[in-house]
Amino acid sequence: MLKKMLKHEWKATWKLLALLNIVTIALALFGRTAMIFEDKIPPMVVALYMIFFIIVLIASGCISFVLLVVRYYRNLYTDEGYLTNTLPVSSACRLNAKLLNFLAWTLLNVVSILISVLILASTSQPITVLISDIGSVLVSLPREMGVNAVAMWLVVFGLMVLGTLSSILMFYFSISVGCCFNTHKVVASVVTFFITYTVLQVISLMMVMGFGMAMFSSRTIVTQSTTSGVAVTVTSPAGSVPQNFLASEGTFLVITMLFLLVLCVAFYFSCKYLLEKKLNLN
Amino acid sequence: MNELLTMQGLCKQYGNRCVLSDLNLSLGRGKIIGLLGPNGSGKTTLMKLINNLLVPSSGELLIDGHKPGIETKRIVSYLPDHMYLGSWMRVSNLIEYFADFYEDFDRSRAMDMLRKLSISPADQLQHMSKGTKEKVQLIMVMSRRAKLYCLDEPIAGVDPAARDYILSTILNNYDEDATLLISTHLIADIENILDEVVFLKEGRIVMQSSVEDIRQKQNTSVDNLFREVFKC
Repeated sequence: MLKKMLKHEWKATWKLLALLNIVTIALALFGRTAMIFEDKIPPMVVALYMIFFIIVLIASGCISFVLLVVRYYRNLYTDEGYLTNTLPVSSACRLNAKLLNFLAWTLLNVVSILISVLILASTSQPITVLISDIGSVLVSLPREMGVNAVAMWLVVFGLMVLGTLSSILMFYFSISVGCCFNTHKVVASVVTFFITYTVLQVISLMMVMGFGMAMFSSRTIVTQSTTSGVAVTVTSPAGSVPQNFLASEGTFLVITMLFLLVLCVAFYFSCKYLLEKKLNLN
Repeated sequence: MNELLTMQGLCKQYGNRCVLSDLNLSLGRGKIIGLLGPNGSGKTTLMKLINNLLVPSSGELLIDGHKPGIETKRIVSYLPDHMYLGSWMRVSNLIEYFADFYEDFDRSRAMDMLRKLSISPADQLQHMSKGTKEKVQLIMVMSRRAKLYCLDEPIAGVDPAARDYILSTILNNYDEDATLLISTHLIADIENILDEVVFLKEGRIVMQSSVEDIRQKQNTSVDNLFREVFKC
């Protein structure tokens, strides 16, 4: 059933979202073509185009996100919900289809933005050179930081996926809670979102502060030799020693990943529970 | 087990407001039952409870022996009292949608009814009149070979000609062993097709009787009885 749900979810959303991505790439292609005549175009026009291009890139990401959040609300909690919620499929299936479709479109959106930027950046260098430059940065950056490249990019990728997933689920959760109210469901959803967001910000801040204090308190004793040959013992914060710093930062990133994972699980099961046990279509 | 739908002590509250209280009801198979009551009597809430769109505050509701859920959604075909189809959809999308999710959806029956109304599968819902959209919605619901059809106010707000079409569609397309639960307050229009009636008043069942009993024992029509029971 998930396959069927996904199929219809995709059919309901693809047109507008594909159009947004096509517009982004088309705008980049237009800019790339126009740049052939760069000498004849006034710098002001080039600057305005660049500003417009950046706005379109940001807008395409934001509009896609908003469209998919609205789709969740409309399809499950308004008139359309009378059909969606009477289908013989589980609440998990309904939720998973929406979530997977959202993730797929987020990925496509990122890819289309990257393609657009590459097209525009290829004005100065060929695309193949740009791609190989990016590849060498991906390899050299972890080496210069003295960390394992695979581990680093896995953590970065994990953070990106979990960060995106938790953001989507936070919106889903807020809508699901807001729609439990008998009236003013949209207002209740917005209020739930801001309360959830604030609580999470406070928890994140406390985590950062706690971690900083833990790092500060675990000072390392370092013995340094002076030019006069006299050994001097200084107390140095752990953060000032590169290896310790990287190890600590790695730990912090792993803790952040675990925190995001817990959030995703909590939001997901709350949405599932609300859809299953507290559905209130009135 | 002859009962298709049973409820015991069923209650639904919205905050402190009790919309349905202590409903005890059994409905058999192969009957057309009118769920009758004035506006605000709880008809739509009961329909939503049967279709798992609301969760009861207390009590038990069983459909063919199952609590409302995936199993019951396979055998219940529901027509809400308003449009619930995405306006971006085409009729062909709808047919595909229903065929994908409901094993009992009869595509040829749907196509036949659409053809009689000269509705093309390529037509988009947003370009249809309100009446046509309602007919399309009814066609989708009645094209299922369900065990229980829940039709919430199927003839409210449509002209008399459309009412005739809707009623004939309902009568010509439901299987003999299926049960039809029709909620309405327009009794005169559907009285002739009903086998049984359930009167709902302020969230309580005030009467459950066969139409034949009402006519023979009480020597009155359902419409007249309704006017008496719900006299303001």
